[in-house]
Amino acid sequence: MSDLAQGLYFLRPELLLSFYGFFLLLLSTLPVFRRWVGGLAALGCLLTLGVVLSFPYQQGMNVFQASDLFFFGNLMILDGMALFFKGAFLLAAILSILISLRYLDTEGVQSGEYYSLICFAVVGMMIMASGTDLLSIFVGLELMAICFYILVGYLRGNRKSNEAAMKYFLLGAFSTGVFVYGASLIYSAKGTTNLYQLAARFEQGDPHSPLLILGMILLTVSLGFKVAAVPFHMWAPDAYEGAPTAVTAFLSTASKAAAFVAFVRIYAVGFLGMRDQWLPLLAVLSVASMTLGNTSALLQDNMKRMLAYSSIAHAGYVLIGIIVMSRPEVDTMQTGMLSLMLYLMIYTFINLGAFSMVVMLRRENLAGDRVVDFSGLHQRSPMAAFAMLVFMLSLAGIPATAGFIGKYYLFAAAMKAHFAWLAVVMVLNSVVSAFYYLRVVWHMYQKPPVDSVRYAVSPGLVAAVGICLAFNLLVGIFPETLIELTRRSILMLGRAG
Amino acid sequence: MDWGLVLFYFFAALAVVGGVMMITRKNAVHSAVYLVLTFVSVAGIYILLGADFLFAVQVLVYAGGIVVLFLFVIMLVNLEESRRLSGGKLHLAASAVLTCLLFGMLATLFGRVAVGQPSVAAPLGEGNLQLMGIALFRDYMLPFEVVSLLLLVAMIGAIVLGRPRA
Repeated sequence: MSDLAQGLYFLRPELLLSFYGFFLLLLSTLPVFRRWVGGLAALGCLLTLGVVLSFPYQQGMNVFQASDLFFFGNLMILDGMALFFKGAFLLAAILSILISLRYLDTEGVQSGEYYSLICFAVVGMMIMASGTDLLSIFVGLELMAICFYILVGYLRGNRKSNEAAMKYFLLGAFSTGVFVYGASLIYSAKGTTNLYQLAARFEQGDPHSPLLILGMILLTVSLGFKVAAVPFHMWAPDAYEGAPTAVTAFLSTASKAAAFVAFVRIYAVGFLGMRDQWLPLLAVLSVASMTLGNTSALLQDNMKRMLAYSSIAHAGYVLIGIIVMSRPEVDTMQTGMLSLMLYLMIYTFINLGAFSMVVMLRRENLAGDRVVDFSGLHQRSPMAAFAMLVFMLSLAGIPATAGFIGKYYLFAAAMKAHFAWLAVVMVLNSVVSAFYYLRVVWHMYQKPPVDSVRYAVSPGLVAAVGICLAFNLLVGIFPETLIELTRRSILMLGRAG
Repeated sequence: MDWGLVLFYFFAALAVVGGVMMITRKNAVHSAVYLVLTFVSVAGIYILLGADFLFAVQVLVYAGGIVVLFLFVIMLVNLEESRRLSGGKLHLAASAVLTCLLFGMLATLFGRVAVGQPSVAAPLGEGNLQLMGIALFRDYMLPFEVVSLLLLVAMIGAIVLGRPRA
């Protein structure tokens, strides 16, 4: 197979979804099909998921040789991690589309472009997941980010949404500039933007130049912004609150996961040779995010803001996974990798579930995004209250939920890598976080309802909540399947080029 | 005397002056004109580096197209005497301290890189337009194509956010 043919073969998911995005765009111009666009978008993501799963995925190494994992020169790679995360992005997109179907009607912004933008955002994320060069990661990142700037401001008549989009766009554009500046310094220090070549040049004993360290710091700032780690989290609460709730759900899960893939590729591959330099930096970010995220979440009365601060805290937890990867032992590194991937996948399903419930409370003339709006949920709809209970317990990391499995693996990884103090900080923070998650539960079960307007239940929403609920309970009780899947993906992680 | 170096310092100084003037002018149109000065000085540096393609792009796209766009926006929005950003003294002091700190950090770092030491990055030789073409359409074809998708998405965004409400 020629290089180009192989490249296009490996690029099938991205190509399919891009074409699908165009297709939806064209379809939405015909009034007859307008009602079907949303459903078709979900179907398109499902088809793409099928393509992702159709890649040979076997025990140990896959059928391609290690160096065959690369495509388009050394710009892209299709290893287990890339496939795992592509799957996660697509699942998040499908669930977000399901909860958007009715929600967009309520907000009065139903249109086909929304769904095609989601498709294009996923294409950007998938390119990031495969990118092994600062350049390919960057274009993927930007494709994703531009889609999100538009989606966050999709409620044009809503001042909060406008403000959110503006803040997100300005800060996002700034962080883009910081990324490019960092990449240019790295290029001028080492003469390459390819992460594997960068790793190889470290091994040849090139001295660490100050330029390289500055470049690394700048990339940390930019990626820290994308995952909303303290102190680069300023945009998150406003953007999460102002954005359409279905977009917030997608933003807080898939875009965060995509930024973490870039984090792993850049730090655990490209910058592995300067782990002593980035380790303290990331440790500070992690502890600050956990602590500040959780303490700020305690003070929030708005559900979306609370979940925004909680997602900042979760970014802090996930950073532990990357910190663990700074250990030289391959075994420990893999544990860090495993815990990070597991956590991001689980977090996707919990957070999407929690935001679906917020979508359910959004009714005509009723924002429904305050914590008190959850009052009396048990009285009015026991099943919905049970689902929300599971999501909250899972976010807090109570045993028998998926969230516990994720936290447990991160904790174990930190202990194994001799970062006991980080593990302790994480557990303390989880205890603090339980307080505000359980406050929602208390409102649901102990308080009388504040209004009597019917909940905005729709088949798509019920399906999304059902899937998230099933995932949380099943993984909480029988985690082996997911852990095994993740373990296999790591074995396929392409190392040397 | 090394005229290349002299020219470099000249253009670099001009670019810095343009930049400072741009952010300190109250009249937005003046700012835009100083921005042109900065762009053109940077274009001069590109010429010194032998990057003639970058020079052309810098002049045509940045000093030409983008500044015209800026001016259009300034005319359309009709900024009168630009209103002062209400930041307060504390905000100003904090910004000043942080900026000085950052400047000090960058200055120390760049000071430690020996001046005049050739960069590892590949130097541009003659006919770099050809090299650029090869890089864009062969080595970096995929990112190049993704950028076209990105521009399309930006266009969709402009239409979605700008169209009249139904």
